[in-house]
Amino acid sequence: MAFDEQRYRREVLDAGLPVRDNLRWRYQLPERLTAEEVATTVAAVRACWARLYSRLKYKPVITELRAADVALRPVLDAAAGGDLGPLRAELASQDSAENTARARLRAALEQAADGLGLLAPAALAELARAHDSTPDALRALLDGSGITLAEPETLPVEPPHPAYAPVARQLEILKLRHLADFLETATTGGRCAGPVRYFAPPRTDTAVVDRAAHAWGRQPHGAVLTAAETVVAAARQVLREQGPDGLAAALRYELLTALRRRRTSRSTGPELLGHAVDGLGLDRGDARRLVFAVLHEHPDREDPVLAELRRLAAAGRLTAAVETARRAPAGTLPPEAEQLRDHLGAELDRALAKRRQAERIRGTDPDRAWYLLDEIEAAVKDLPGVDDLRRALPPHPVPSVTAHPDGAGVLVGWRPTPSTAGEPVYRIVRTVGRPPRTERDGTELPPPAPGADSLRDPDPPVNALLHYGVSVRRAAEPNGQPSRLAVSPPVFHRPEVSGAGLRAGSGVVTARWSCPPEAESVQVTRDPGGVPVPAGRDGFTDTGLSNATAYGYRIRAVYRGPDGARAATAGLRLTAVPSAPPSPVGALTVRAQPGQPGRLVAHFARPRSGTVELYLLDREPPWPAGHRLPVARVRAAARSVDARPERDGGLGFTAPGGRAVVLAVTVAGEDAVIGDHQPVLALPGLGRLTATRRSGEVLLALDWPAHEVDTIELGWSPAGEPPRTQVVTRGDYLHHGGVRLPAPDGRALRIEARAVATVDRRRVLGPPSTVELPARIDVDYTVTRTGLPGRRRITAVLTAPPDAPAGLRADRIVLVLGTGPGWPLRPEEGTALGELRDVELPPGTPVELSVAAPAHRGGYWLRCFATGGGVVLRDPAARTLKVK
Amino acid sequence: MRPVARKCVCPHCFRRITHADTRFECATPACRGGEPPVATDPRADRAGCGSCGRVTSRRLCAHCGDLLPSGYLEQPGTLVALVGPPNSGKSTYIGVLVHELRHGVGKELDAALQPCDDNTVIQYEEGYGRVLFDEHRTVRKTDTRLNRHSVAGRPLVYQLKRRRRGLFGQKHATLTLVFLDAAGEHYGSDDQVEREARYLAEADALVLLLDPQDLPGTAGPAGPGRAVSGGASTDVLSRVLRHLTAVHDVKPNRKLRLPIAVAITKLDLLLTGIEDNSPLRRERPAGARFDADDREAVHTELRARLDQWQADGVSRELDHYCADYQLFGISMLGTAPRGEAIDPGGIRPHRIEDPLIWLLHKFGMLDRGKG
Repeated sequence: MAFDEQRYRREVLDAGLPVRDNLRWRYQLPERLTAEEVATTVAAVRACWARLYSRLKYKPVITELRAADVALRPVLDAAAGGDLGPLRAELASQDSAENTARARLRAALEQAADGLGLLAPAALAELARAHDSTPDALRALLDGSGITLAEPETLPVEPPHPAYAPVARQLEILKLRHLADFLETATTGGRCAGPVRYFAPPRTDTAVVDRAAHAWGRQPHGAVLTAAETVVAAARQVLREQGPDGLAAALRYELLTALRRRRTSRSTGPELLGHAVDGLGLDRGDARRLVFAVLHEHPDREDPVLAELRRLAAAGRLTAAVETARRAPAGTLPPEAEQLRDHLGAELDRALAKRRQAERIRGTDPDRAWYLLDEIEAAVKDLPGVDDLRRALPPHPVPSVTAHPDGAGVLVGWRPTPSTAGEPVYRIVRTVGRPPRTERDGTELPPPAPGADSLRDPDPPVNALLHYGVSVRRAAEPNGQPSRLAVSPPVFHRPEVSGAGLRAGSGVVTARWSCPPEAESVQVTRDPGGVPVPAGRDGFTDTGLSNATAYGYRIRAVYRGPDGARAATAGLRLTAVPSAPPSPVGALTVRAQPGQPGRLVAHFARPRSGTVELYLLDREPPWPAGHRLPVARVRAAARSVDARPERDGGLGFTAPGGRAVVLAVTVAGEDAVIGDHQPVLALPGLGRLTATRRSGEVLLALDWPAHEVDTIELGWSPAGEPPRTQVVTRGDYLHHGGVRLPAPDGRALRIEARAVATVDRRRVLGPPSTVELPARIDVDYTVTRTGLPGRRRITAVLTAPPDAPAGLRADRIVLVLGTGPGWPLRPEEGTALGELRDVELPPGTPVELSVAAPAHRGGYWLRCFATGGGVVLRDPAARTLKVK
Repeated sequence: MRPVARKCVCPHCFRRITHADTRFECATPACRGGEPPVATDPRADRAGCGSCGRVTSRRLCAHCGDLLPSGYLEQPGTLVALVGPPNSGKSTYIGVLVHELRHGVGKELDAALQPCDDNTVIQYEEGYGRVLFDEHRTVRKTDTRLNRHSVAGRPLVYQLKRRRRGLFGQKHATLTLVFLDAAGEHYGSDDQVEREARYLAEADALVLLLDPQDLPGTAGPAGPGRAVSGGASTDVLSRVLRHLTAVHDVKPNRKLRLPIAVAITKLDLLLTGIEDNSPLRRERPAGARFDADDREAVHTELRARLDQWQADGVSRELDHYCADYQLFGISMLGTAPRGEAIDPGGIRPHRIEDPLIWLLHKFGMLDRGKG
């Protein structure tokens, strides 16, 4: 069964919130479930949601439906896929839940009727809201329940006549219930015979009152007679001013007052009903309606018609609101409702005017008409005829359509439609041999995107006359009228041969391809000269060619058209260079490039034919030298090396990051021959060296590489001594926290370190790292104080070590006096007592600096400092530098 | 000068013990759950097992049940406590010092370092040796939740044994080194010092590490003003001195006589600002001797440096409260680690053994000499 969107909108979306929790209803599922129908219907319902949501219609309802759809998707997908079990179980579960809910609603309705058998529409609506149901659903439950839906009667609030107000007290004195008892019995505590009708009371005219006055006049003078005369006087005044209706109203007011008084004692409906019938003698039918009205009486209650108008206006249902207001009897509407009615009527008239305008311009400006309908729907949601009018608004057609065959398919393009309203989408169809007549005539080609203005037809019929038609429709109105069809000029799809490839040999070129079965033949020409080459349907062999010459081939497929004429395609152009078979590389050598760390250079004798390429492998190559194979196999199994020619004729390249095998391969065309190979190992550099002098030895530290290097080789050469070397293992280095090299302090030192490894019994060295240490000579000194107080002198004696180099000099030697708690750390921290400038320190020979002791009170420190010449002074025992 | 013979303290739980507070344990594992071996003479150094008949000298502390070093009661251990604020490098100091004592420095001093029990072996290898020297990572910050009752929080107990010349020829001297790697946060407040650093009271000497980055005048990588619970080095120094003054009952007109080695760690971070002629840049004079001149030079240099680093309050406080203290500058790793990884150049300690050399000399195990 096809999805009926109008019905869906009417039954589901127009129902509004809350949405019924019923799968069959939400998705318009058929009674007899099949996988295909479930898939089709659910997809149509979701598309309907998307369309209407994009037009901002039924947004709250659709939002709720979509939210529930997320949870239901697995069940629906399973059903669409053929597994209807979960969906049936879900429906059965929902049916059971609905039955339970229905029973609960019935009980609620009976409770709300309160034993009176009457229910107000407002109470029904409240019940529906409270139980997440709809008023219509509850109305359906009322059938057969004995409950009638009725608006409560409007009851008077004020006494009918001011003169009648004291009557109630007089009737109490007379022990009477109401005026009917008074008029009919004329005895204290009397009760009228028949039931009293509230809504159709007996006519009470002057005669009845006179008769009652006469009867009560027989009472002896006293309180009873006085009370009776008061009642008669009041009745006569009401009759005189308001007539019999006024007296009837007085009787109704008495009855109503009695019930209202009883209601204030929180009596229930049945209790009030019993009081009305048994206590007041009311007719049971009237009593039921009166009690119902009393129970629904509210001093501030809004007029029901006004409330309904407001509800409909808030929902945008202006047509229904105006109709409701018109149905109300004239003069019964409160002023506020009348104002609202007039306002809604004016709005509705404006909407109708817009609809008429849209109808007028729909042929000339359908987009403007569409937007007018949008404006109408924004204001009036239930204006009839709007959807029909929308469906009759086709968008403008596309201005032009083109089709270009490119050998692999046909590229169809079109200029976008000028229409913008309603989300225009395109429908493309293809016909063979004739133009399409309608938008559904031919094979439909889905566009890649809704707003696309081109598509590729990847698989059109070959060698057939093709027409492409493009129509436009509005996605917002799927049942709307499409635009006029625009058709492309006819084209042919004639593909080229596929999989074509040339293979060059020595003086020969062969080709292979796959020819389309619709092609009649293949035509090949060779450049230069455009020489025809005999070719079959699958390839050719061209012989007698010169090696090392480039030949161009044009391969064209030939088709025979419907008119019998032959037509050739543009053709493929391929080039091949015949060449002699490659010769293998004989002896390959690889060594480090001097002066370029991390670079290697390969040398080999140039082969007679072919180009040499270098490849890297992790292990020995799987092919022996001289083995011939397609070069593609080599490239798949090995890493190509980016090698560049060097000045010495070799090929230079960046060293690999570890052990590898360099393989020389000679390539000619697609053929390759394996040559010699050599293993290589590139050791990393050691980075920056840090060397620190430590009293006759140097502590060397370096960043030991993380991998590959287990041993390093050190070379150092103190000035004037032969160079020395030492091999250090990683374990030695880490164990001793660096390398300690014996080195005299007095000589400058240059240290070189490099990684060492052995590959195939060959010793491989990494790039060297060097550090240079300037000479440093520790010179001891002493400080003594001699002489008597007043003529005391301070003498510093400096002695260079005997092994210090001759000609050792210091730029400045200064004796400093410091007064702080600690000795001076720098010359600037104290007072210079004396200094020597540009002083020579011969090995083993003392040099003196003698000054007069300062006249200083308190203790102080003495300390010598040297600057320049690599001289570092070694302090004597600290206590000898302290003067107390 | 050897300290006056005094109490014997369990190196595991730091409770004072006598022979009566110990019990023997049979070397046979099957006998350990039964009746312990008992000697007739309570001061005997061995006892026979009633179950298997083997004679054992394994003696356990009756309080904590841990194994005492062999002959410990006869030659009580010298307890060296290690104190320092968080991140001052206590764990790294222990790890590298033990390694040095077992290799370079131990060979130079002709000293043998022997772990007291399996716990010490396992704990050092798992917590220090493997991390520092195999995985080349820094020792992770000590967990404050560990206490001395958990395996990882127990002290490392070593016996350092070396030969020295006496009046009547060579003799062996043994020093028991006890390192408790307490988390630095334990010294963060007076309450924590009282509760968690109880073993300070029983220490025969103290090595107190100061983080130079806590000194305002230094310009370490982390800069001044670190905010770590436990406070700066100077605060910890004050708390520890206050605590020791109290437990040793030092009179107001007296000073604390406990030897205290105050070591400024991470010296490698400071070397760029230190002149070439500074003794801090020199290696300790080689040889199995205590060079008093070098010691005095380093101490004097550091006193001056503390003024330069605006930490003269440290030296003043030590002057006023301590009768026997020395300043040291040490570097455990030789260079700053790169995150958790030790510099690829390896561990190159600098003067890390200086405090121990001084303490060995104080305890009469190392002669004075001059290079």
